[in-house]
Amino acid sequence: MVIAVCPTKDKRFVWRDIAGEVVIAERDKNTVRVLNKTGSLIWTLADGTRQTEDIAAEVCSRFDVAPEQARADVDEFCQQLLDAGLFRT
Amino acid sequence: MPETSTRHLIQSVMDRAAEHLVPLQVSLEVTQRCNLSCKHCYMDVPVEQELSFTELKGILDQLAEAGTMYLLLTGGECLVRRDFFDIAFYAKERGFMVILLTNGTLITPSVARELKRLEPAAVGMSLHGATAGTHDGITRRRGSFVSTIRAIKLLKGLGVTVSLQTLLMDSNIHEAEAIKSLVQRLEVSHLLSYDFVPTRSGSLNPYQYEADLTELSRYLNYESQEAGPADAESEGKEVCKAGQGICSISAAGDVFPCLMMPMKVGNLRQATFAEIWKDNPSPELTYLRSITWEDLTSCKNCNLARYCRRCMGVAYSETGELTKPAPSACRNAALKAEFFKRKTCYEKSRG
Repeated sequence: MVIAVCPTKDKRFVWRDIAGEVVIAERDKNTVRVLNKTGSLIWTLADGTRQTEDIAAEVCSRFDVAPEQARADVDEFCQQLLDAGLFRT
Repeated sequence: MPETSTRHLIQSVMDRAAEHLVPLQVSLEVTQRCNLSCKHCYMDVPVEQELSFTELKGILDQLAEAGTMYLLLTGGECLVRRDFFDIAFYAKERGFMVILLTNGTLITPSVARELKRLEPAAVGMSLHGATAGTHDGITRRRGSFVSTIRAIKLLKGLGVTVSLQTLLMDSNIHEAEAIKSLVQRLEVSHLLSYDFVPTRSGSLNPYQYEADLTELSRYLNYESQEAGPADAESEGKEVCKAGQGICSISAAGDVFPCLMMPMKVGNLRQATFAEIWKDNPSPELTYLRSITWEDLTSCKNCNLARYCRRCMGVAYSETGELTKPAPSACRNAALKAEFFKRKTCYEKSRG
């Protein structure tokens, strides 16, 4: 599946980058999520101005991954965050 | 997509933050003023000129930059500030997880609605008794019990998370059971504690209100789940994260390693947060960060360590040194150890 949209973070969530790993918490709940380095990069770049293919290109430039794989991974990750309500489009 | 609300993950995030000197959790006293006069209050230092809203905005910007996520707004009574919601909503805008500590007495229906809009992670309040006589006797303000209970109900009705705390002391321990029943009826989370702390100036005056140990023992007998022995390999041996992942800022901009440690390490009117925290930390802060369990020479060999909840800030207040045992922690650990000794004997006798 290819997500041809510009994902952005839902404002219900607060987040901080702690030494390269993004920590996300839901504003009025006691839950925490921690992303790995790749997930953290995707989260940081998802600001509503970039399409997933732009994000995948950035992932490709920073990590040792083939473009097709990066695109698939970014799409899958973004879809997970959309499903979980952390991203919106 | 991993998600968890367990203390374990939050603890690992705290560990990581501390390791990288990210002040993940900051207590910000927006005022020293309070409309109550609780007899055990730790705020006994002269009122200084409060940070203005403009100054606070600058500080919140710096904290966001430094990586602070959990922001505890406290006082004094933070709602006495007329610009409290300007501060709180600015904090929300800057992406902090806001937690509010209040006595609740100033929460009217309209204030409650604003708090709902703020979406705090929690609003914490102290409940000092199950009756107006007991609660108001401790706050030394007639009507405070009624106002606090009204605030709890208002917030609860709006779906705001309320978290209550009761410090058991000589004048309310007789209502411990009634307090628990009241809290159950209110359907909010509640923590009973018995750990007094010195005042900001280092005075031990609040300790005069400690509950009688025999009475406390009787209570603890009934509350085994709240007094379980710590794991010998972890809790008793942990050195705190004050000055690493935790920080506190006073109403006048003084920076402390944590709310409980009155060891000033800088002032935000004289230096930036980054300078105080990372670029040019004071010798005191540098020393605090260097302390390991091995430096706690008395505590590390203590046979009560597994029962001890030693607080470095309390130790500093009580003894003037960070690495000495805190006498109050020693008393509490002995009490806890005695309780478990008796509990074990009782269980053995029942086969």
